[in-house]
Amino acid sequence: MLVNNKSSYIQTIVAACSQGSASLWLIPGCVFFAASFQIGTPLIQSKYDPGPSFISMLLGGLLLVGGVGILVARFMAKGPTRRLRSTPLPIKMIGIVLAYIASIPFIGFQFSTLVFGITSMAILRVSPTLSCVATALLIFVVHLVFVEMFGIQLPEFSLLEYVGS
Amino acid sequence: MLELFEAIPSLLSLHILVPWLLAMVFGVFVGSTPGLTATMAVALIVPFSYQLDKEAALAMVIGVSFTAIFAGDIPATFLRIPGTPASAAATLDAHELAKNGRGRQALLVNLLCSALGGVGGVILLIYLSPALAKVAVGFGAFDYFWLCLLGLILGVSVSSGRRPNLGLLAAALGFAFAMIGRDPLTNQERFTFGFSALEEGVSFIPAMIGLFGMSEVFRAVCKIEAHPPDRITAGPFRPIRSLGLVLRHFPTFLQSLLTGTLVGALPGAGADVAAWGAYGISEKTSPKESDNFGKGEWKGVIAPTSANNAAVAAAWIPALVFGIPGDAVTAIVLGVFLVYDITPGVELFSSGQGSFIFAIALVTQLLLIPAGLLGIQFFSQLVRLPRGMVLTSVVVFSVVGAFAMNNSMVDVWVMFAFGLLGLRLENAKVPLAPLILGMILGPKVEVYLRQGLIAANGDVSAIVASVVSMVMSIMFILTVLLTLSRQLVRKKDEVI
Amino acid sequence: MSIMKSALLICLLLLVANGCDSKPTTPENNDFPTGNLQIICPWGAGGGTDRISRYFAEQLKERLGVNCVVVNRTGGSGAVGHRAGAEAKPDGNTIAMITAELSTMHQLGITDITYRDYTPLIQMNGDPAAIMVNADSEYEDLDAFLAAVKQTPGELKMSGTATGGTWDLARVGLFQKAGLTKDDVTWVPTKGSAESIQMLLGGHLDAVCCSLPEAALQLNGGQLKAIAVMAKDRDSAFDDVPTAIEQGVEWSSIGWRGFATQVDTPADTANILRTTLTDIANSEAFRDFMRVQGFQIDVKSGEEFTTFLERQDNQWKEVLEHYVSQ
Repeated sequence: MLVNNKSSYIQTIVAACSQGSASLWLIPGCVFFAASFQIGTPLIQSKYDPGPSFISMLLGGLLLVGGVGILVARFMAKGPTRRLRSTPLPIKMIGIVLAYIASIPFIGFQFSTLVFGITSMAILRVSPTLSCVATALLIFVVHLVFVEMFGIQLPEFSLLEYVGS
Repeated sequence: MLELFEAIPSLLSLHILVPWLLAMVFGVFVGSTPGLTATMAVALIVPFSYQLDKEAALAMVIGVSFTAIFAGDIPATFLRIPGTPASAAATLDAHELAKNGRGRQALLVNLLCSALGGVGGVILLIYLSPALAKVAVGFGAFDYFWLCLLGLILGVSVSSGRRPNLGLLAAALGFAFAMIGRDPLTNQERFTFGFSALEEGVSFIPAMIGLFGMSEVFRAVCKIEAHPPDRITAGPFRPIRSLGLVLRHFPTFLQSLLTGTLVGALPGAGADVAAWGAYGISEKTSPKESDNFGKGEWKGVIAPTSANNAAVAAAWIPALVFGIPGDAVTAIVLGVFLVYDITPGVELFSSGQGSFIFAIALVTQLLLIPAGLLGIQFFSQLVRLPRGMVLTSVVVFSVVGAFAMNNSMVDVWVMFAFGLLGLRLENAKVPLAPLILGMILGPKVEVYLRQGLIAANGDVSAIVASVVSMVMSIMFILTVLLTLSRQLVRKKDEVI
Repeated sequence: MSIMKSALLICLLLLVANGCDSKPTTPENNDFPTGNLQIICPWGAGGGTDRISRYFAEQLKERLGVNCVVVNRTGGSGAVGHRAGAEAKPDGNTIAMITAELSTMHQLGITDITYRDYTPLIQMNGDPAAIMVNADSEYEDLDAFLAAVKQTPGELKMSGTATGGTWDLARVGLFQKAGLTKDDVTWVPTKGSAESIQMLLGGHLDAVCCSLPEAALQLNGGQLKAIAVMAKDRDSAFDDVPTAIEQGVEWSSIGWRGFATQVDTPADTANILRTTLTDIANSEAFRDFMRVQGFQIDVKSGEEFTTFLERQDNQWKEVLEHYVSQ
């Protein structure tokens, strides 16, 4: 009764993994558990110290057990596995944020924010004029608070330096 | 006490009150900007305060140090970006309330509780300091171990609702993330995979900004793409009703005040443990509302906010009695005291200098209300801007804020990665709060456990040797059983 | 169309604004500093190292007319901040706070950064290690304490910082000179002196090894007493505390703090920084500041500082060979 059809067995596991929550724990569990064995023993470790890899092994194990537990539970709950309704991913937004962060070290904070601000607000249906004004204001406020007040050195436009050197 | 009241009128002159209130408004604004912390605000105000005379300088520094936690609650409520780890506890219910157009009221209740919690904390500080300080230094490594573990499990239990197993796993995952970098006891590298950028570890402020703030932006964008853009309404203040709420839940307030003071007095714990502990306890002691926690329950706003401000006051207990600061903010304030020749010690409590400081701390709680109201007003105007504008600004501030923590782009990438992780977890219906809680309290749990084992020369039985440890370990086990039983009971109607 | 126009306009404005305040940093033009300065402090906000860093930041701001901020890069017992300081852009705008751990970390295998990865600027402070016990402790002097350690190897507990930190090594050096081994007491690793003192007051430890100023409040408050200071001479602020040498153990150990900049920083830029920092360290105001904070002033600059760093590396080599071999 448990395994009446081998292929459906595999299918269920695949479905369960692809559905999400189990793989969410199994993958980091595997990574952390395996990497725990690579943590060396420090030269200066006290002899009563269980060591830097002790807890990480426990945690990796816990994540693995939890992930397997979810798989098993889903397996036991007979009947068709309910698919979680797939939520649409905001690909466009993720993409421009990624591009924004990646561009900061090269074209500096101000330029990349300018481009990002206008693009992002355009995607989010803010009127063009308004988005330009808002972006400029945003850059100004950030400059005032972070750079002027707290002296934080935001990356600046550095292409000239690359050309120069 | 009499001296205390005599000291208050001398503070009420304009040349003290004006810089004081300005400093506190400054503290509220800095603390409510993602990525700028209270520590930075206090550190910035210190050199400025030296330009003024002693009274005004002390008032400014103490004032700013008390705005820290409330300020962090403002973006936590409106945008779900907690400014401090202690604010993460208040995020859950307050943000739910804000989504239903009651953000301003939630913050007003929060502000009242913060101020009242602060007043209560300062009064307990004045009367109980010597006794509490003795208890606090008596706490051994294993006592702290159980306390942090209990705080962790209470937080997990209350924030993971009907899926305690997912909450536990999220906490374990957060704990594991916090292990990236250098082992705090031996400096051994862990999980850095050879990247020196990971040596510093995953800082939790960028992680928190990403997990809550960035993921919320991504989610909101999905909604905007589906529907026409909408605006958040901050809602009215409803002062009478808010005050009524605080009064109605006065037992919750008192209970949280005590939790906050007791936990805050321990130099190894802090406002975050206090907030989560009080939140967990109030859920466990209100069976009627327990299902509503995390969905906009008023007790869920009152408990953590009154506890964390009481804890900020109580953090002064070990600092003033023994000169041992529990956190960076207290350490900076203690440094300022040294400059003005105020020496910590039991004698301080009976001296004129002592009552002067306590008078400042008390009046500060009252000044928190106007300063806080200003911050709430300002923020509620901001969130009324077109949604696209708000979301874009949140992204920019998240990026700059994450960068500002360590002046490093690595933190910005950490923030982004946690934004994606947060999105993924929420789609899989995994609660986010346990993850961040695991990141904050996990390392403490590990350090205290290993420290205790070393100090006990490897004797494992020492782990429950003290009465405090014994009691807390029993509470811990009971909480775990209670939490997991929830899973079993609901199993029938639950598809994991 | 309007979107393009506005964007172009803002771009131009930014370009102009940017061009105005940033000049290229070439070694030839000596108008350093050209931008805001930062001091990278390898220890947390509120601690002694942080307070000294912030004092210098304020002074640099005044003297050089640019903003100067302190960035705390903590972790790995200072390894993280030291690396960040050594590997920053070598334009002189980033000053690294360096501390005693620099001499030991690389020998402990924690990091590969050594003093050779910096251009040392000045040392401004040096506080000797000291052994402290509770005021009501039975140990009146170093002899009594060391005798107790010898009688009950591994029973007594000490702390002061993490395992392998400056104060741990200081007491190991002391033990070594007194014919004891490092495992004769259990060293409980902590985040730093504040946590250790708290544990000592709570009766969880038998003694603490850290510098005198770190425990000044408790020493002056009569809760703790110091039984030995590991210096050649007594500390002027605590002149009733005898040195270890007076008590028959030939050992001194200093926790020092200093500033450095990156190896590739242009020499004239480093010189401007060195002169300015030395001026600050020799000022009357600095003396007052250090007195209030309880720290000792110990100024060494240029060659002298480099020689000192070299000697420190050698001093700890001996101790660490003993430490690691066990």
